[in-house]
Amino acid sequence: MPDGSHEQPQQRQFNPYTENGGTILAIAGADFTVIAGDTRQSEGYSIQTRYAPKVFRLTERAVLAVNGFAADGNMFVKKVKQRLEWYRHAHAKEMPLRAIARLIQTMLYAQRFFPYYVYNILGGIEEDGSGAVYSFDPVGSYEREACRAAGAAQSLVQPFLDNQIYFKNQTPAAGSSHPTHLPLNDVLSIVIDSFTSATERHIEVGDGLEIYVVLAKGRSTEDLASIRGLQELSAKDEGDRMFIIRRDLKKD
Amino acid sequence: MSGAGARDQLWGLCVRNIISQGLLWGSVGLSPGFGTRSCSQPVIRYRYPGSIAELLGVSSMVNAYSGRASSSNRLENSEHPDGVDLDAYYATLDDSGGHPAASFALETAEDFRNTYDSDNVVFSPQGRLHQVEYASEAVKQGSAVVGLRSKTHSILLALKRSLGELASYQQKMYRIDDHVGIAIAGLTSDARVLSNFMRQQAMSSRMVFNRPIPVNRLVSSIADKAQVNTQEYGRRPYGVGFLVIGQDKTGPHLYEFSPSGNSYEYYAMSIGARSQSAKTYLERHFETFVDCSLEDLIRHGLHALRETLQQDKELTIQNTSIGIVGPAGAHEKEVPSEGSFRILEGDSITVYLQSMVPKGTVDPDPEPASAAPAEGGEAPPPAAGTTADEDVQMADQ
Repeated sequence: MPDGSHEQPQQRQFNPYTENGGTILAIAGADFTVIAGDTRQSEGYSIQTRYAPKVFRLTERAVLAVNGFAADGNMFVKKVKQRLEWYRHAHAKEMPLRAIARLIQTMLYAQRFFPYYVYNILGGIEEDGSGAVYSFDPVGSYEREACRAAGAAQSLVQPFLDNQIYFKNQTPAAGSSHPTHLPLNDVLSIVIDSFTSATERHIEVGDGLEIYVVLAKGRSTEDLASIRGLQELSAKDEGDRMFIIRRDLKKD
Repeated sequence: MSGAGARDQLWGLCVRNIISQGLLWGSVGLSPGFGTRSCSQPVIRYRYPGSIAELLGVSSMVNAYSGRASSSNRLENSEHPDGVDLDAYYATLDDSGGHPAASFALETAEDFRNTYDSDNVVFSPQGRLHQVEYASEAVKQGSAVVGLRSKTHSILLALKRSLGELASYQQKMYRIDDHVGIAIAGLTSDARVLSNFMRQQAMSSRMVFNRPIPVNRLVSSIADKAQVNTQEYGRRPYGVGFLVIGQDKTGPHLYEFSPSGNSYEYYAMSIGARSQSAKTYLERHFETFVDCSLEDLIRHGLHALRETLQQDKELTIQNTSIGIVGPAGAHEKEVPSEGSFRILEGDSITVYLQSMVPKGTVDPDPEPASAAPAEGGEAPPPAAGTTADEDVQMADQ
């Protein structure tokens, strides 16, 4: 310092993590699950890319959304897919959803002392045909829920979901009660509105939206008939079915 | 007796070894001749390949001592200065033959192949590695497997063996990746280990290079792995052979892998018990395979597999499995568009078994056909019941 005083000692260290922004969301219905994520990847005030998927298909009935540090997220998904492949070799069938959830916990905790900086949300159809959402913290703590939002706009979206899905702070009309499960089209509307609203108020959310819809075996697909730009990912008509819906979000 | 001190030390080691391994060697006649040895040479001669640790191992140590004790009358044998013919002694121990030694170079006749076949790392005078050849024999013990390919598909057909009427049939096919599958003949445990390795290689290729592993590269990787076991002392060759089918950018492929570490690509091939009969059928028809439909290809494969059956046996939905790589066939549903490897078993193969032409009408070949039935009729029928049935065995296949 020019005045003769001295600076505090400084230390520089490589930071292995960075935040890549974005938001993910999953909602479970009675016989379907919806898992969505925006496609913007950013670092600080810069956009790295307008299209970097954060939601991935694991099996015919399981979808994993990863958010936080993109490099860890992408690698983690690859490793999970490899473990599922070993399971298929060993057992000649696909891993059930709650087993995948437990597997994810053990994989995350195995890195307890150099964690994957990822907030995972696993969604899909359980063995009993019900819609399920499992949410994880970076070291593997997990819980099955009806809905969960994670990522940059979590604080904007989760309260909205608490009100609209769990009907928190709402009194039902006299003589009726809140439905335990919402119909598919209502859920899709809530998802799209969550993201458009988050895009308005959070700089790290925007550009595009990908929504995965997983339907239990036997559930009719007529609810989806009117959806524009629907694409089927499942190969067979019998069994659980999976669709993807893409929408644009504001790019500013 | 200047050598006595060294001998005593080695004897001490021997005792420790024996005690620590809890063995009793009283039957092997120790010590009578020991204390009276006047030879000043060290106890053990380094006359055969192996490390010092090996030489001090129990059996070789004790054998040497007992050999010495029981062969004291060989003192006069000038070829063996310390008067012990270890190799001849070893020859009496078990039926694997004598212990190979450089000093046996004198024997060149085939009768003495026993002396060159205990160790992997010893060539015979004819330039053969007998252990590796014996490993191929293990492959020939397994039940037959047939592979063939066309322009669009590669298929495998396997004859499954069961331990008895109450048991299930042994699995013969493994999926390695979406685009690769194998059928095995030989030691099932070795097959599991190698197929696991292949799966690791396939997955690693997808992870590291973001593309499925080319089939020839995969087969080379197990061939190289198997070769190590033919050149390292103390390791035995893998006792299993594979037929590998796969598809990649260059189309469908069929490879054979053998315990020697050799691998070749084929248009059609068969391995396992009585596979020569299948190969004869394939040789006669392989030129038509290129343009065959999947159903015709399977029919040819089933005919070839049928040739390996013993009398009175037939292909059933329980003992046959079919592996296919390539686009979906007329009788298949729900095959992914990439034509991933799938295994057909049980009811789904009924339609293919029914498409087979009855035996005897397939190949009207004048000379062999007239000779074969005559021999078949005169040969004594196999012993009644399941006891003489080669396909029903306790041995690992």
